[in-house]
Order: sequence, then C-alpha cells, then structure tokens
Amino acid sequence: MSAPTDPSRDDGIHPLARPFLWLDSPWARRAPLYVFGGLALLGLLIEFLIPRHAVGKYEEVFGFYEIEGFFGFCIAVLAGWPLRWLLGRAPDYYDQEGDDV
Amino acid sequence: MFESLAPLSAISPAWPFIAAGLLCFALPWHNVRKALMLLAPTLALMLWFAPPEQGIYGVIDLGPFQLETYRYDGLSRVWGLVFILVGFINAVYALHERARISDGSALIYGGAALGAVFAGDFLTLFLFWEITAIASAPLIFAAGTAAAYRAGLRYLAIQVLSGVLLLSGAVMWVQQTGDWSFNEIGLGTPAGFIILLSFGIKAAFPFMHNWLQDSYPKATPTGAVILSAFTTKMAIYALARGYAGEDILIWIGAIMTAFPVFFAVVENDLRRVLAYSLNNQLGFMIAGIGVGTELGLAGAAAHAFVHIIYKALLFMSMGAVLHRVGSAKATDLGGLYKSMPITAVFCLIGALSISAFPLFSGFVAKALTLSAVLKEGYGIPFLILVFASAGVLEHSGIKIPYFTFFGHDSGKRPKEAPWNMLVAMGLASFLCIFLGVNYGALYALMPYDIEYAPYTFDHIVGQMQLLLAALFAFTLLVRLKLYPLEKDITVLDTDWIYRRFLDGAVRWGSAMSQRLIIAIQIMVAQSAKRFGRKLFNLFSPAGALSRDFPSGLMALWTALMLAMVLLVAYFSSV
Repeated sequence: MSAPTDPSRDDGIHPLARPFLWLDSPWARRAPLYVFGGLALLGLLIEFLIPRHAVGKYEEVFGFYEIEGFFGFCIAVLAGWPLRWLLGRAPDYYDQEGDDV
Repeated sequence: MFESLAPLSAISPAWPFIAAGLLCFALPWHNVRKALMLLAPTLALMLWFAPPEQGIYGVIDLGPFQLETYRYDGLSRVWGLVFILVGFINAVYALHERARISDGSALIYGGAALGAVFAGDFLTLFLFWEITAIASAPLIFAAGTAAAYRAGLRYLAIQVLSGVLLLSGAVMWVQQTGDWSFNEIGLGTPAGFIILLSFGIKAAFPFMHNWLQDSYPKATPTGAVILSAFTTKMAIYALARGYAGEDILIWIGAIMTAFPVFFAVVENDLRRVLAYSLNNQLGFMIAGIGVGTELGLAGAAAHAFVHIIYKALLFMSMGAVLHRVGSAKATDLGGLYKSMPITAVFCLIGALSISAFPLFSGFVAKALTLSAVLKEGYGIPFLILVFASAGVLEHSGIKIPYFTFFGHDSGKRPKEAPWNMLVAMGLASFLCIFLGVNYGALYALMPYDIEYAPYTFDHIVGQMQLLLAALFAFTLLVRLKLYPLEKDITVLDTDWIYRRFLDGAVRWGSAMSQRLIIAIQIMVAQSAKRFGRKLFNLFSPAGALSRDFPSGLMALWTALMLAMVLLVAYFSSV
C-alpha cells in the first residue's frame, strides 16, 4: 500500500497514471496560480471588449461574476478558520458519553 | 407512449422494484439477487413508457378510499425516469456486494420513492413516504458499526416523524377540503404548514438538515449512493407539486445553498462534505420552486434530474475510495490518482458537472434556476445563489477531487475500483456529459415547454468568469497558506442539540429519576422498619402488651368498665 520514494520503482502506480506523474512536479503545482489568474484576467478583458447583456441590476456591475467568484470563494474559505475554532471538537466528541463511535 | 405497452399502464413502475426487493430478502443466491436488481429498473422503465397519455392509472379501490398509484404527468415522469436510471446504475455499482438485506432494502426503498412521486392522493403518498423511511434505514445499519447503528436509529426516528406529520396534515387538509387528491396545497391553511414541515424534514430545510450529514456518511459505500438519490429528491418533488410559487421557499432555498458552504470547508470526512453539498444543491431546487414560474419549476426539475446523477457519481467515487482504502477522511487520503486513475477521472467529471462547467450537465440545469430568480427580480437571493455557486466549486469541485486524488501524496497505493463500480461510474459520467451537450433531451423532459438557450455568450462568459476567479482564489489562498489544512475533527452542527444537549438532558433526567426512586425506596424501607419496630415493641413477647400487669389493677379496670356498661344500659332504658 505505501509508496517507494522513486516513482519509477513504485509498482503501485497504475499504468494509466504513469504519463501524468508530472502533476507532482513543483512547476506543475505552481502553474495553476498563474494559469487561472491569467484566464480570469482574460475573462475581464473579454467583458471589457464585448459587454455582456445584464438582466438584473447586479449584473450591470463590470466584472460582477469575477468579483463575486473571487471574494465569495475567499469569504467561504477564510470563514473556515474562526468556524473551526468555534465549532471544531475532538474526533471522538460524540463518543465521550458513550453515545457514538 | 408505446401503444403495445398501453395495457401495462395500470402498473406503477414502483411495483417491479418492490416485488424484486421482497424476493431478494427471500433468495439466498447472490447472482439471482443481482439479476433481479438489474431486471427491476428495466421493467420499471418499460412501465414508465406504458401510459398512452398523461393521466391517472393504477387506481386501487379500497371502498371508502381509492389509491391512485400511478399519476403520470409532466412533473412526476421527470422524477420517475431519473429514479429508475439511478436505480439501474446503483444495481451495477452494487454487483460485487454480498448483502441480502441491503439488496432488498435498496430495491424497496427505490420502489417506494417511485411510488411516492407517482402517487395521486395523500394516502398513497403517505404509505410510500413511510416505506422509504423504513426500507432505507437498513442501508445505514448495514455498515455494521456502533456509530452507524445509532445514526440509523436517529435517521429512522426523524423520517418516521416526517410521515406522521404528513398524515396529520393530510387528515386536516381532507377535513377542510373533503379531497384526498395531492395537488397544490399552499400555505393558506394550518394543514398547509404542517405538510410543509413534513416535506421540509425530508428536503433537509435549515435546522432540520442534520439527519442527512449524520446518517449518509455512515452508510455502506453502496448505501450512501442510493440514499443520496431518493429521499431528498422525493421531497423536492412533493414541494414542487404542493408549494410552487410560495415566496418563502426562495429564501429557504437561498439559505440552504449558502450555509453548507461554510461547514463543508472545515469538514474532514469527504462523504460528509458531499452531504453538505447535497444540502446546497437542494437549495437551488427549492429556490426554483419558490419562484414558481414555468422557468423556475423547469429549473428545479432539471436540476433534480442532473443532480441525482452527478451526486451519485461523486458518492460512487468516494465509495470506491472507501471500499479500497477503508477511509473517506481527507487527512487519510491524497495522491490516489496514481493508483486509481479511472476513478479519479470519473470523480473529476462529477466535480465539473456539479460546479456547472460548460458542456457538463450542471451548467444547463443551474442556468434555468438562476435565470428564473433573476428574471423575477429577486436580487438578494440571486446574489446568494451566485455566491453559493462559487461555494459548490470549493467543496465539490475542488476539495473532493483535490484532497482525495491529488494534494499531498498519502503514499497509499490501493487497487483501482472493482470493474462493476467503474462501469456504474462510467454510465453516470456519460450521462453528465451527454445531458450537458445534448441539453435539448433534458429540456424536452421538463413539465413545461421552455424556450431557453444555455449556451449564449453572456451565460458562458459569466459562468466562466465566476469559476475562473474562484479557482484563482483557491490557488492564491493555498499559496499564501490561508487555506485551512484538513484536521481530523468533529464539526458541531444543529445535530448537537439532540446528540448532545437533549441526549445529556435525557441522561441527566434518567440519572435524577434513578436517584429519586432510590431515595423513595430508602424512605419507604425506613418507614416500614420504624413501623415494624413499633409493632414489635407493642406485640412481641417483649412488647408492651405482653408485659405482666398486677391482678389488682386489672380487677379495678374490669370493675370500672362493668360499671360504665351498667350505667349506659340503665340510662338507655329510661
């Protein structure tokens, strides 16, 4: 079950997965930040060049979906820190009173 | 639809499932049971095609009551078809599983859900509503752990409560209207509120939702897949039938889409993340029902249809991981794409679908609901729904595949999922892409004729902007180490009220009652002892009455008593 450090000697790797081992390389882990950042900028540029047809008043704001997507995602994730502090308990929390495992 | 099948239209598609389920309980042969599991949905699909036109079929006359078991119309047939499809997919997924009770329960549960969506009256609805509760609980018990057993009991109690409320509300409704037909109910009467409460429990309204996160993740890998499909979507159907256009549902739906997003971020059990995600998706459907326009209801129906498939796909991929690794906790997983690449691809297809990427089924369904909300001018709910769309990407689009198949390498190298699981996931993946590309096939099923083009420049650009900005936010937060790393914790939710507070109150009450009973027992024993001692002191050989008295004194008392008797006799005779 556990993997050797050298992927070429790792018999547990599925043949179909071998061509994709580059996903573990440091550059592949760094790339999404720039790829998605670039594509998000491209989305703004497209909206600037070809304005969207807004249906509601919020949609009229330039980059509405990018703003809500970026900040909405950040709020959801960053709220996790205080939420975990507030609501996080030991894994056996419900087990303490013999209630659950 | 097919003339040759018309004579069969008296038989609801529910019956092949239920009959096969009952047979499965009796049959010890694994292969025969599995053949029945595949045959039942096939027969049900045939019966789905049988009615020549919309109407009520399969009426069972019980004297004062008539059970309408097969109402085939624009709304019920959408849910009916997807229930049959997912029943078949689940049968393939569970081919390896040797569990007689689970096989039977899954079939009866699916059949009951079909029976409920095809029910034309409240009594039939109630009967199937309760059967879904009773038949589905063994799928949780089957996991065989103490946690699953207790969660199953909690689940059963809550589900049965929903049925009791439904019957109470229905009886009140019939007293007011004199009609058992299950049609539009509305919130104009107390009965309407009680029935909404019943539907709300099964649809996992806020504060009534935790049975879902409590029970589904504790079920078996196959059990969770089948559970994710039926109960909640049956309730969504009931809401669409009875409460379309009720404004309050837009707000309930909007809240349902938003709050699970926060819980899913900190949750470590990935099947529990999927349960929160299920809550979030139900919110979109309920918002569409609340809008109540043809577009809104079509949005709810289309969303339910595609959601059942991609949610089952996600549960199947997590089930495959649980089957091979023995855990679905994010802290135990990572890097599994190296040994389970096919499962990883299927999981990614589910993730892309639920996140509503263009060319996947979620895109063409969610667009209807969002457009309906926007067109009717519900600004704040629209903002919440768009936020929740980014949230879906976070928990189901990124967290599930990333922490399971990518992220840090856990070093685990399990075997790829069994072939039957892969086939089932492949079927669901195909449907996710097929319906995303051939959206006309999905829209043609809808209860209303809708003129809607999802692949417009505005819609594609808007959706891609949302998703790309959210993906950029994810990579940025990971780079800045602001993304909360997974920790093995229990996250409190409203189930704390009954699992801890009420449970504690009951335990405290029980302990206090025991003490009270013991105190009363001691008091009674002491009183009895004191009384016994007094009797002993009076009557025992050493007691007061056994003491020797002087004979002179006794003679004196006897003489006095005799004198008194004589006096009384004398005066009474005067």
